[in-house]
Amino acid sequence: MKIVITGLGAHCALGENIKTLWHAIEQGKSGIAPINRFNTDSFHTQLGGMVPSGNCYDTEDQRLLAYGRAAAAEALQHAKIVNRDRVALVLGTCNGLQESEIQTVSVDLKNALDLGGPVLTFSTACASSTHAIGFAADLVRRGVAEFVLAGGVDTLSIEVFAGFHCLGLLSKNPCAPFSTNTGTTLGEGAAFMILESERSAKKRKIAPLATFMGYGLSADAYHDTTPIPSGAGMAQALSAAVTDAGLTPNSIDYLNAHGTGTVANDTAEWRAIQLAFGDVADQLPVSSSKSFLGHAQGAAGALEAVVTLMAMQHEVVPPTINFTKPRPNVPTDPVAEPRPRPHPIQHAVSTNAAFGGFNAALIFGQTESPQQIRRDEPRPIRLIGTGKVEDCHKIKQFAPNSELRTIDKSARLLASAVAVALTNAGIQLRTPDCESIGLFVGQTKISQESIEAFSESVAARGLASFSATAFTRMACSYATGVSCRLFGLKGPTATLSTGLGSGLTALVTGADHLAWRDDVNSLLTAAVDEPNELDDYDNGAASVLLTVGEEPASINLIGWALATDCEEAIVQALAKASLNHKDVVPMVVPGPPTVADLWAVIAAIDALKSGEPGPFLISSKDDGTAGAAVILQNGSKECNQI
Amino acid sequence: MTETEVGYHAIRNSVAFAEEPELRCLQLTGSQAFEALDAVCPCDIFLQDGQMRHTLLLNENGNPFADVYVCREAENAYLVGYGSNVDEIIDWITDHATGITDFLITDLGKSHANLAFDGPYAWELCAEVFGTNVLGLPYLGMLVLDDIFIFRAGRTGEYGYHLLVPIDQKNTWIEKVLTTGAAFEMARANEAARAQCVLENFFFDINREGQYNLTPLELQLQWRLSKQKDTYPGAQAIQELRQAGLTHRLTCFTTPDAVNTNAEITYDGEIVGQVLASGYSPMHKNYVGKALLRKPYWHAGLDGFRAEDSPLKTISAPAVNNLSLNVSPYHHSFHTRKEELT
Amino acid sequence: MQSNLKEKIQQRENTFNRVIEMLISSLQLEYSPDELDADTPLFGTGLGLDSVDAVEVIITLEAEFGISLDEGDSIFALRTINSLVDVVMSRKENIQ
Repeated sequence: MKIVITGLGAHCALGENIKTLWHAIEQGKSGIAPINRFNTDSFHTQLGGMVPSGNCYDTEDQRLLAYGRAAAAEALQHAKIVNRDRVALVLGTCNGLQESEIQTVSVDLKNALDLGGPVLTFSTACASSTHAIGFAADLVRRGVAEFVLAGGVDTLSIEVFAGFHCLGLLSKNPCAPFSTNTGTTLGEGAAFMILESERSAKKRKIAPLATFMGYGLSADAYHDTTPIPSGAGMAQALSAAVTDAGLTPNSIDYLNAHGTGTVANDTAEWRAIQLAFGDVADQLPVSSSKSFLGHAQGAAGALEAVVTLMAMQHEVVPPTINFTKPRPNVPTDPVAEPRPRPHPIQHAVSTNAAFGGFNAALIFGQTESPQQIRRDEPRPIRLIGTGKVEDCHKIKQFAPNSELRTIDKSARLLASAVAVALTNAGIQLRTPDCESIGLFVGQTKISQESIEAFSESVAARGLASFSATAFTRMACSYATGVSCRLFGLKGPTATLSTGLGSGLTALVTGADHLAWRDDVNSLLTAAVDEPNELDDYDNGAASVLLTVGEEPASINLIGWALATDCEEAIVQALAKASLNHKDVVPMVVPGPPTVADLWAVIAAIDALKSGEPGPFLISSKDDGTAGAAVILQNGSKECNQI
Repeated sequence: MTETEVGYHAIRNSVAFAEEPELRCLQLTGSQAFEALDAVCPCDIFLQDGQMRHTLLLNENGNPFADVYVCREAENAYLVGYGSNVDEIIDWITDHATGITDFLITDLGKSHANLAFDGPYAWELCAEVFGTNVLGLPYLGMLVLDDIFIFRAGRTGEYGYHLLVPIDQKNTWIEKVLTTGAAFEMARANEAARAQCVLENFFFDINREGQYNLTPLELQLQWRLSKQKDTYPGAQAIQELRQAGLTHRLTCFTTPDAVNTNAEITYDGEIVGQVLASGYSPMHKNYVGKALLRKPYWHAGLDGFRAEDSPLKTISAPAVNNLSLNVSPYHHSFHTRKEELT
Repeated sequence: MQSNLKEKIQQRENTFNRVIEMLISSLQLEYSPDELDADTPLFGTGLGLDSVDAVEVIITLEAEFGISLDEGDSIFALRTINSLVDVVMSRKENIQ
């Protein structure tokens, strides 16, 4: 199935729609200016890429929703979508240090725009919306939704500004990626695109803007805030994306880099491009839109994808502005010019990298780019390891104390579950066997322990000097990154939320990823839930290791589905497994909300192993986002029948 | 300048090259390679791919007989460092890795020659000679490039790389290094030059203080031991010493005049310690050394000591500020250093 | 022992104890004070701290001792526990 892009929307420092955004880029005009929304006197820089209209809201929540709504509405209108019932929303956001659950803004946005499809939220720090767009394409391919509204939104709060300031990452001058002035400038905003099948666009008589060619994900497994200097992680995501798109490096005409302007990022990223593209790298125009927009955190990937798509439409490559003199080890051609350079683009890559070591790359093609070759049949999936954890100290069995310093409770819980599942499957931790494994985690909120530590630190020391360590933990994806780092998991990685069903959604999304893609053969799916003082449940985490291929005595995933609600998910999962409702045994286990479903999956696996016939059905609970369902069966039983 | 002075100057200001036959490099393969290391090493063997960790090999009395890094590259483990000799280390590991059998130790010294590079611009020379992948190597990182093993770790306080090249390629590489090195004012550094740098940085020297039957506690090397492990060779002796309490400790000192190794150190006429190593530091413009001092004289920042006829004062380690700390592969180059660092 | 030496040693010990207390609590080190040797390197080897920890140490130094390090100072002040003790002692007369 060929996936096309039929609508774009943006709301950012360069204006409130894609027209003003592109006009500014054509003029070489930067959106970076002194911040007047909050007081920056106690910081050594005052710059930000702020949305001009952003000052008229009272709270970050209002601002977040307003930006998202404006950009999303533009994309829907651009794609001329009338019936919003069949529109899914896949949103990437970090949601700047909010204590509320990460999917709150997505649900608000769905309600505000009256969307009828499932709602997924990806939170992988600064790669959030890049992940969202990649997974959105898969939802269309799998038929989960006819249209997907995919993108990202984030606001620049004083806490986020202070956090980056504290880490010494902010530049005194407007950020100048690849140039001698080092450091980044933060930004904010929202951007969205509409993805649908080419057939659907044809049927609606809508001319597509571009083809979605493919994407690639990876984890560095190296450090909480620093990319691996060799660039190996990003290189892996780039190569996976090129393969997914059915292309070769020499068919890429432009690369829109993450290019934050920091020394660590820019150098590692260029090494990654060199590793993945070889000799072609020197001829490749590589520019960073952050020189125009600042670093819009979770929205950066979507904004930069929109810039890339606009550039393809206008047959130019956008420049890297603010550039004075090249630093060592940066792109040979950073497009250091004041205006866009005329240059036809058949295929373009857009990359993002995030704290925690998450890398993502998207590839877009012109509308006539052919459909990528995909497998016709899903690969069979079996479940080979499980980890159920309630005690966060369990991690001490798997890693020395020196490695666990500063790690919060959610990370301890999740890492424990991951380690138990790997060990349970007979996989030695930190070996090359772990390197190819991916990790999809359902998590709805930042660790309560870290939220408290951060608040205490701000209260005690003020915004100009709070704890840098505490700040680095204030991301929903922190626990996922730690788990990758501790055990050397470098495959495709994501942190996502669908509220209550997050754990099961991670499992279903992981199963889809394994069944239909080629970049990974084993994937851990997991969930973690750490209660706050108002919750009346205990800590919990779960992890289930999935792998492809059939084996005689294995526990198999014979049906799985993600849908708008649970009922529909169950119907579809049953249909995939060719079973009726009466043929399956529902399995329900009490537990922390986002983890209980995976505990039920583990209970079902244990039951099947102990000889119970099954097949078992596990489905999520409805909470207005999406529904997920899976069906498990013992493979040996089926073999006996044959 | 003497040969030693030339080498020293290159280490501290540009880049120095040395063939280092005394470097031991063992490769451990097999499914239990890391278990074997875990059984014999006092540190945690919890390594990421390409990571190195500094530790020691201890005898039953808790005295180090080798100063080593443990490393992981893909499924293989490595032990790289100084002290003892290869055959003895192999036998010792085999003897002490009780019940662990599925591993094989290979002496890379038989197939490879070691070239060492140290200096604030070692990274730049190595990148030019061996390729820019070297620049992506973090401190205490290793990688294998076409049969060349590269370890980023030094003992001079400057950027340091150990490269193991196949023996049959050795001369070709050395030729290339010498040719490229000319533009970096590279010099060969002899052992005396490198040992002086080790001393100035207060790094452990197995050939000096390592010869006095001291434990990691007196040597201020507790950080090379795991906090949790208690079954490695020497663990019991260290535990006993911890309980008994430490009476002496290694401390960095300076004197204006040369003092002999083993000279007594006095305070108000009372013997409070002994010189274990010393040498002239061109950077410090004084003699710098390591002394074993009695508690509570072992603190840094005290003066009034005497050794032989010279006044002696204790200082915090390291004794010198290394230029490498101000040189960044991201911003600098040897060729433009004069504009950059002024 | 001379009383001024005694006093100097006492001052050094007090400062050292304060510094490692600060390091242990701000960096959440799982060490007890007697496991931390005075000349232990802070970054890379030794305690194996990283750039995020460096920020933490610099900020805590300011918050607890009122000592501000500029970029040039901090590279050398943060080499070992002892070099940090030197900085505190040179900027603060009396640490109790």
